[in-house]
Amino acid sequence: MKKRFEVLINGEHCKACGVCLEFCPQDVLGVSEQRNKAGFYPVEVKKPEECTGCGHCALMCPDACIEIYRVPMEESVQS
Amino acid sequence: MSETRAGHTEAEALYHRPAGLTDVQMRYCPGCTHGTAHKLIAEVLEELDIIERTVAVATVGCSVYAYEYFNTDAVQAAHGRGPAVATGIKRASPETIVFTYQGDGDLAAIGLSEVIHSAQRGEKMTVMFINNAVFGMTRGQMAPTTLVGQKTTTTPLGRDPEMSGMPMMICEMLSTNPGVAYLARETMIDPKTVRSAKRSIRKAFQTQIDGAGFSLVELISTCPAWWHKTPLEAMQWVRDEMLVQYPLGVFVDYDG
Ligand SMILES: Cc1ncc(C[n+]2csc(CCOP(=O)(O)OP(=O)(O)O)c2C)c(N)n1
Ligand code: SF4
Ligand code: SF4
Ligand code: SF4
Repeated sequence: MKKRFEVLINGEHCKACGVCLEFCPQDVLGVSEQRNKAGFYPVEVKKPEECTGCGHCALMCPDACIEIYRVPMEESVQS
Repeated sequence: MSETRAGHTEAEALYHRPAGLTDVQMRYCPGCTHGTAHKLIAEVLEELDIIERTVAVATVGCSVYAYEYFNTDAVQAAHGRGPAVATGIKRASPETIVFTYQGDGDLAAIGLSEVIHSAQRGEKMTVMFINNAVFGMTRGQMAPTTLVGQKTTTTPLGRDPEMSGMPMMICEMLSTNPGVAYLARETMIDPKTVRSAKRSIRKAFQTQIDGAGFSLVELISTCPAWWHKTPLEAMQWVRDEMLVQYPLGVFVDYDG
């Protein structure tokens, strides 16, 4: 499947609270193996093609770390 | 079309970090819904296009640095005195949109008098009241809003109403006050309640823009640190315990 949405996570602001992981219905997100500067293992996008753009992760993140963009049609067809 | 931080166009953005927040990382504990409350307020300030004419009044508690997080002008009030400071700002500069951001220790304990009198006078200000049932900053002591039986640093056996009285229900208390134009209680424990909380926050600021009177939104919030729970357990505890004591709803709506 083509990637239709781009989920951007600010890994330096992420505190690994796990709230977005719980509320993502598509299991798009996972945990990084690298710590950030604050010592947390931040969330990262593992399965971008599964994202439906529902926005639950961004809505629930207490640290406003998540941004979601629609991938323009032409790009998603090419990639 | 303007470019966003990530280099995408605004039209493609389904969700962006709200312009009402600065780029500063908030110092709240992981999963604390103080952050969610900031984010929703910041989104509303952006959507109503009032960032430039808003003054935030930070108070005392974990949110003491709120002035670094909101992308507005801001002042820092002494413990509990936020509504008195906001009164001065609003009266000196009626075009300014003023809001206080207060915890339950700040608003319902040391600052109870200020909030009631500001409501009584119908001050055209907006109060964001974060009820997490403890004094978070000072390590989790009992607040007026602590639930019956809830264990805190100062109630190790649980709150005993014989000793400490019953939890204080600020919305119910203020709902008979003629100066109040908008009053609601919300929470932030799933996408549905987050969306609902944002609607009430927006309505509260609109109340002030319309000059209709005093507006307050009580946000039932989590304190994972001093409830000794994970962020998700804390959200579940809100659903199972807090919302039984503090039912959600709109109590006063000048325009409803
Ligand atoms: C005049 C004064 N008295 C007491 C304190 C100590 N103090 C700091 S924060 C706080 C309670 C804050 O609790 P709350 O308003 O519920 O906010 P939270 O930290 O839970 O977000 C107290 C009593 C103070 N800073 N100033
Ligand atoms: S937008 Fe929805 S599907 Fe996509 S990562 Fe976020 S929660 Fe998951
Ligand atoms: S909700 Fe936000 S802070 Fe928490 S793990 Fe997800 S991205 Fe990180
Ligand atoms: S002490 Fe409690 S209220 Fe304060 S930031 Fe931590 S979790 Fe939030």
